[in-house]
Parts: sequence; C-alpha cells; structure tokens
Amino acid sequence: MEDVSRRKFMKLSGAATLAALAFPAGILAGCGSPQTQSSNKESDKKEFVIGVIGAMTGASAQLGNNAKYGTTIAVEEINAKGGINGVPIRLVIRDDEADPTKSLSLARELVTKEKIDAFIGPTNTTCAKAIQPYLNQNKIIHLNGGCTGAALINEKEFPYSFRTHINDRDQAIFMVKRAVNKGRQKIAMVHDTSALGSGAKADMEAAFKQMGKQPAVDCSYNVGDVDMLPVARKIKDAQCDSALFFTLGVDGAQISKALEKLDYLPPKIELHGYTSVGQPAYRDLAGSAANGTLVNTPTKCTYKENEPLPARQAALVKAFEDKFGAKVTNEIIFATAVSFYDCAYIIKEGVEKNKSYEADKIKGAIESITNYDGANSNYKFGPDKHDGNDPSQLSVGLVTKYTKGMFQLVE
Amino acid sequence: MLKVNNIHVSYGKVEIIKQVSFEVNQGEVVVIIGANGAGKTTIMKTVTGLLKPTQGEILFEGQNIARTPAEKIVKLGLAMCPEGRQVFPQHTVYENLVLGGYLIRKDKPMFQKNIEQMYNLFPILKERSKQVAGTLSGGEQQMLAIARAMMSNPKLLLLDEPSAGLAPIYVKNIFDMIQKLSEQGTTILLVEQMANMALKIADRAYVLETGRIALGGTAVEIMNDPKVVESYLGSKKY
Amino acid sequence: MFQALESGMVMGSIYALLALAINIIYSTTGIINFAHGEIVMLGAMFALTFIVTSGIPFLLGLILTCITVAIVAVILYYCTVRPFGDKLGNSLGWLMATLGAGIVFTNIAMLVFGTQPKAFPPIGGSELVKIFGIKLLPHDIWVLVITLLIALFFNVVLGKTILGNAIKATSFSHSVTKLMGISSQKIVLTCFAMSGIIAAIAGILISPITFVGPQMTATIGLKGFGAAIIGGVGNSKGAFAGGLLLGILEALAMTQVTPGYKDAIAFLIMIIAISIKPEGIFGVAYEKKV
Ligand SMILES: Nc1ncnc2c1ncn2[C@@H]1O[C@H](COP(=O)(O)OP(=O)(O)OP(=O)(O)O)[C@@H](O)[C@H]1O
Ligand SMILES: [Mg+2]
Repeated sequence: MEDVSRRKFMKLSGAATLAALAFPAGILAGCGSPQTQSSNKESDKKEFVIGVIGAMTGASAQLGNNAKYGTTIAVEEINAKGGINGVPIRLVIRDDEADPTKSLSLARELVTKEKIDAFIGPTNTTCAKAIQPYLNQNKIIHLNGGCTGAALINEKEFPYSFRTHINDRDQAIFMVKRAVNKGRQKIAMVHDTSALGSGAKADMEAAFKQMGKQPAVDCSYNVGDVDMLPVARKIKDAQCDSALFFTLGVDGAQISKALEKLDYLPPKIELHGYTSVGQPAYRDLAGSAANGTLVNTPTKCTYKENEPLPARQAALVKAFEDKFGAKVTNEIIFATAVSFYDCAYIIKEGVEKNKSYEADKIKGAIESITNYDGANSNYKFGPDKHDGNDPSQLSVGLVTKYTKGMFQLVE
Repeated sequence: MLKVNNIHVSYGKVEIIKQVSFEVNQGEVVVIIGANGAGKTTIMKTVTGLLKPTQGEILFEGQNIARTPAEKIVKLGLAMCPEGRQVFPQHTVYENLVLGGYLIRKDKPMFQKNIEQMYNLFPILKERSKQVAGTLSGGEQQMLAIARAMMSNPKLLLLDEPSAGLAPIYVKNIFDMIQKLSEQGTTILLVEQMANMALKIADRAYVLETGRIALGGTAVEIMNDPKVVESYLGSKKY
Repeated sequence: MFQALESGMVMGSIYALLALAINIIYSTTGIINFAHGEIVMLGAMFALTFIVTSGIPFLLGLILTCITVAIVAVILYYCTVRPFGDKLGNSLGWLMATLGAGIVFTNIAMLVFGTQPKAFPPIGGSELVKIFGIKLLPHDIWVLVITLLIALFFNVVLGKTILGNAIKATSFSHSVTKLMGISSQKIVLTCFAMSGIIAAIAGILISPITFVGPQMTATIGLKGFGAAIIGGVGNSKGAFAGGLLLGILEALAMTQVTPGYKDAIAFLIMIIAISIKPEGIFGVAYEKKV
C-alpha cells in the first residue's frame, strides 16, 4: 500500500510546512556589547540618523504605518529645509511585526549597525517595554509617538524617553472627570482583561477616587469576545447613564450592538470611548449602533460643524495622500500619524536648541520645551514631565461625524 | 483466467517476491501453500492491486492489471477475502454485506438476490444481520468476510487463509463452503496453512518458498511429493 | 435570561457547525483538522469578496463561496494530510501540518484582505424583531435553522446511506475499503469537500456576528473542537448537541460570572464534560482505528 514516491513527497511537503511555520526570525545583531557612541564632532557630521520601528505587517500593521507615514513626511519636510542643524536626516524604518523579541533585535541592529542618533517608535506597548531599557542604556534619544501605556514614561528609569501621544492614564482621567463634571450619576467602566484593559481599569478607579466618586459597575470581557450580551446586560441592569469604553474598536462595536439588542443606546445612555473607539472599525462594524458615541480626540485634530478642516492638518492629509495614496491614508489613524510626525520635529528642536548631537544635551533641550505647537497637540515637557501631552489637549468628537480621520468637535 | 508472469514485489528495498509465475484457470480451485513469511499474502495483495509489482505482468482474462488500482480490479470481477478477516467492525453484518455489494448497488434485484444467496449459504449471518460485526465470533467473521467478498459476483475469488484461528469444526465448515462456491461456478485461488484440507478440495497447487515457486502441479501430485509431505503435511495422514 | 439563552443557542449553533465539519473529516481519516477554524475564516473572506465587495447576488455568492472553499479544503488535504499516507494513526505529521496550514491561511488573509475586521450584512436585514419578549435579529433564527438542517442532513447521510457506510469503512481501513471496489481516495476527498462547504456556510453565518477578519475564528475554532469532543468525535448528533450545550452553558454562566472569565468557563465546561464522559455525551467510544 505504501508507494515509494509518497515518502519523498512527504519529506518535501513536511519541509514546506516547517518553512511556512517558521516565521522570519529576527536578525540577531552581531554583538551584545554596545559600542560607546563616539561623541561626534559637530563639524564633521554627515547625516543625522533616525531609526523607526513599528509593526508594519501582521495584525497591528496599521499602527506601524502611522509611524512610517508620520515620520516620513516630517523628515522630508525637514530635509527640504536643510535638515537638522544643516545636516540631512536619514530615516531607517524597520518592521517588528509587533513581536517584542524581534523589536529588540531590530533596535540592536539600528544602534550598532546604523549608528542611529535618535529613535522613534515602536508602535506596541509590549515592544516598547522590550526595547526601552536597551535604548536608554545606550543613551539614544527616544521619542514615543504611539504607545500609550502610562508606565512607559518614567523620567528616572528611562531618562532619554519622551512621548508625544496622549497616554492611557490621561485619557482615563479625562473621561472620568468629564463624566463626573457633566453630572452623570451611574457610570460604567468597560474594558477588556488584557494588560491595557486592566491598566485602564486601575487608572479610571484612581480618577474616580480623586473625584470622590464610585463607578456604578465594572464590566470586563476578553479581547475578541463575540457575544457581548453579558456586558451590555450588566450596563443596562445597573441603569447606567454613562459608559466609559476603554475598548478596542471591534470589541466596542460588539458591545454597542449588544446594547442595541437590549434597546439601551444613546440618548438613554452616553457612550464615551477612548481613542481606539475612533478607529474606523468601531463605526463600520457597529453600524447604526454607533450613532451618538463620543470619542476622545486631540483638540487640534478636530473640525467645527460646517467649517473646513484646520489648514495645517488638512495639508498633512494631502501630504500623506500624495506620498502614499488616498486609499491607504484612509486606513491610518490620522491623529497618531501626526503624533509621530511631531516626534521628528521635537528631536529637531532638541538638537538645534543647544546645537549639539550629544544625548544629554538633546535631553536637556527637550526638557526645556514648554510650549511646542505640534500638529497633534501643544506639547509641554520638563525634567519631570517627559510626557509632552496632557488631558488639557483632549476634546470629545462624534464617532460618526468625521472627515479624513478627524472628528467633528462636540465640546 | 488469471495468469501471473514473472512478478517481483518489494517492500521498500527488500524484495519479497522473486520471479513468481502461476495461473488459475476457469472453474479451478488453486491453492498456494507455504511457510509463514513465504510471501503468500504479498502475492494475494499484488494480484488484487493493493501492492504493485516492480516487474512482471498480471493478466486477468487477458488484460494486464499489474498497474490497475485495487478498486478498479474489483470491478473486473476479482474479489478477495483478506487475511485476518478484516470485517468492518463498527458496521452491522448487513452493512458489511451492503459494502461488499457496493459495485452492484444500483441493480436492486441482483443485490437482493445475492443477499438471499449469502443468507442461505451462511444462515448464521441472517440471524445476526443487525449485530455489529466486531462482536461476531471469529468463525462468524470469517463467514461474513467470505460472503462480503462474494456480494460483488466475482468470477475469481481470492481467499487468504480462511481457516486461520478457527476451531476444527469451523474449519471443516469453511472448506465445505469453499467447495460449494466452487461448484456454483466461482473460480478460487486459495492460500492455506491447512495444506492437507486445502489440497483435498483443490485441483492444482503451488508451493511457495521464500518468495519463489518451488513446486507446482495437480493437487494429487503435490500431496504425494515427499518433500511436501515432510514440510507441510507432517506425518499425520488424513 | 431568555435573551442569554437565545444568544447562547446562536453561538452554540456556530460551535456545532464547526464541530460537524471537524467530525466528517475525523470519521474518514481519523484526524482532526486543526486548520478548520481558518477555513471557516476563509469562507467568510470569500463571501465578503463575492457578496459585499463584488455585489454578486446572495445565493449565487453563497454557491461560489461553497465551491471555492471546497477546493481550498481539497488542496489542504493534498498538502497536509495526503503526504502522510493512509495510516494516519501511525504518524503525527498531519497535526503539525494542519496547525501550520491554519497559521499560513491567517497570514495570507492578512496580506490579501488586510487586518481590519469588516462588517457583513446579516441575513434578513439588521432590523431587530421581537419574539416572546426578546429582541433578536432574523439572522439568529437563520443560524439556528440552517445548523439544524445541516445536522439532520449529516445524520441521514452518515447513518443511513451507502455513502455514510463507505465513509465509516474508509475510517476503518483504506485497503479493505478498496477491496469493496470503493475508491477510498474519492471518499476522503468528498469528505474534505463537504467539510469545506459547511465551512463556507458557517463562515457566512458567523460573519455578521464576529465581523470578517483574519482572527475571527481564533477562539471560536477552539470551541468548535471542544464541541466535537464533548459530543463524541465522529458523531454528528453529538456534535450538534455538544455545540449547543457549550453555547448555552457558556451564556448562562455569563449571567452569574463576570464576562471576563468567559473563555475560562467555556474551557472548564469542556474539561468537566470530557472527564465525566470521555467518549462524548452520545456515548460512542472513539477507539483508535486499526
Ligand atoms: N508492509 C511490509 N513491510 C515490510 N515487510 C513486509 C510487509 N508485509 C510483509 N512483509 C514481509 O514480507 C514477507 C512475506 O510476508 P507475507 O505476509 O506475504 O507472508 P505470508 O506468506 O502471508 O505469511 P503467513 O503465512 O504468516 O501469513 C515477510 O517476511 C514479512 O515480514
Ligand atoms: Mg499471510
């Protein structure tokens, strides 16, 4: 029964399967011991290298594209005007597929082989956790444009890491304060059980405590749950008048659809989501259930009803479309992309303020930026404030009213 | 009817059957005897297409079937009752017979007629028709296996050690059945350890030794060959 | 409570649909196709492409999807199962190969269709209807009815037809089946194609519920295997009952426990069910084939 040719075939296809299984393994950087950066003489500097790492393939591909588009356009603009301190910027972009191990080996490669002067990225909090210690040990100025875990910015532990994007904690505080100040009586906290979700829960609880209030219910679920009826029922049973959605777009959409089944949508309740709820996934998937949902958005990336988009942001949209095409521009998250765009400019500010390429000088210079007019927000840094953004820069928009990734301002 | 010409069969690199030729004529009962491991089952599997010879040809009614897939060979009218019975253990007796008659399933009257015939030949099967085959006794399973093979109206029936593991009373029954089938016009190729019983009902016989035909002739000739008597028939005379 | 029961039945039907298709392959080859969840995902992707993106009428789109996915399933057989021969019980190569194929499918889907989940219109429109005081989508009723029909179909085909007999025979032994004049190869291919067709239907039924994305069946796929095991692998009645039971228990448990523990509860139910009745609720012991 066993014909002989089958055995060969088996070997072949077995090998093919293995090959398919083996994901492109991370390139291991040659040696672990980092070379101490020879302090470059200002005069003989030929190029200023910025390394960017983000997830550009795989499930979080869109996040990496935010980083790629934002930094690419910023660097093009800067180089067109003569570069940093008269030195052109070379941008090196790498894809970590959201894999922390890969992220770290890529960071090693950027530092040892590409000899980067500064770093922007990555795009997933887990990856950031993996590479931040390494970058800081090597005194690489690090600008975080899109990882929102609050703990990532810690002036003592990571003295060279800065962030432009609003962080999760600030969003949580903003949402809780807003709901309480609006006089909502029964507020539901809605979040998943991932690290992000439980972090958000702790942040929201802390904010409630600060305001001397209690949330009415705490609703958790697993990322990717399909049947969200239990979550919806919990919200309805508690007769909540406000639900704070610290949810990914897809999960948020499932919850809104479940609320629709229970006939418990706005205006019976106010749904207020953090920035992820602003992703196209939420409104596309929730369909009619998305009507009336509010979402956090940087004030600068909003427009007023019946008014055109703000000129600066509109110009950036056009730059993205010209460079990468209209279709893909539609798929990125505009506010995050311009947060990355701002990262490149903050580095430029930091270098040019002291006219030095030395990490400690740049760090000091960035810490002295007190009001930088960015495309995403106005940033204020300080020696104890490496998070340049803060809740004062946030507004709420209507998820269903948007143009080119920007939301119509509600308040 | 069946003419096997110089076939060689190997498992992997090991050649088990070397240059074997034999034939079975219309209406005959032909028996192949040989020690354990001589290659009898291998030959049967090769004739039914479950194994492919590396060389040689197998002519069934003049057509070379050496490269024909097993399921097509059955269609030509060659059925086998495999070694170790191999009834479908989770199917009922009736379902086993239905599968045996898979090829004539469209011809309802013929199918019905065959079932009746098998029930007549093996009344126990009728009694047990709803029983799951795995729970039948060894002898009953053997009868079922033969009946199943007969369901497709084979012109040539191959039986691989139908008596293996059976009590003497069953053995006698089985050989009676085989003779009956032969009388009803089925040509039979039989592989047997029970050489004396087999030779009694056979017309001709072959002796297989380590993959080669050592001897061939009429059943009577073989029965009286001194070497055969010594190696296969023992001192016991029936 | 009734709302929970209803949504539990819908999810349960979906687990059952997966379990049915897993069973049909198990019953001829004795292997578990670990890529089945991903095949369902591909069904959803093709349906989205045909029906939503290209605007092909629903029924024609459904048929096209079924054909396409059946072909994919057959290709899967040739690439991951066939190479390991007829006696699959003797090797575990297929395990790695089907698991790997699932990952490959997910990655291909990410490349071709993108990573963002997309909406898929429910059958019968998105207007909620009220029946016995609970609000449900007409789609939910369709899911229940179609699953029931498919389960009945399988029950009849596997239990009462000669094809069903031949399928069972193939699972016992390819060579003995061939001796009956049945091409075991064709039987196995038929089963893979059938599993593909059910996967396509399942994909279309799941899409409005899970949305269409490369990860849509990640946990659902696992629960489908669970349902098959709870019901007794290779048993279509069991698959149906197992799926429904899992869905309903899961939904009812959620009315008592916080939804964050949902998957833990679902798998706990599976473990308990398996340890109480290892041969499945329908009591057919699944012995390793000879
Ligand atoms: N699948 C296989 N792979 C390798 N060798 C095999 C295989 N099947 C049988 N053999 C070997 O081929 C030889 C002949 O086996 P075969 O089954 O044909 O013997 P037999 O004459 O039928 O013996 P018995 O009377 O015990 O049934 C034996 O030495 C056996 O070990
Ligand atoms: Mg033998």
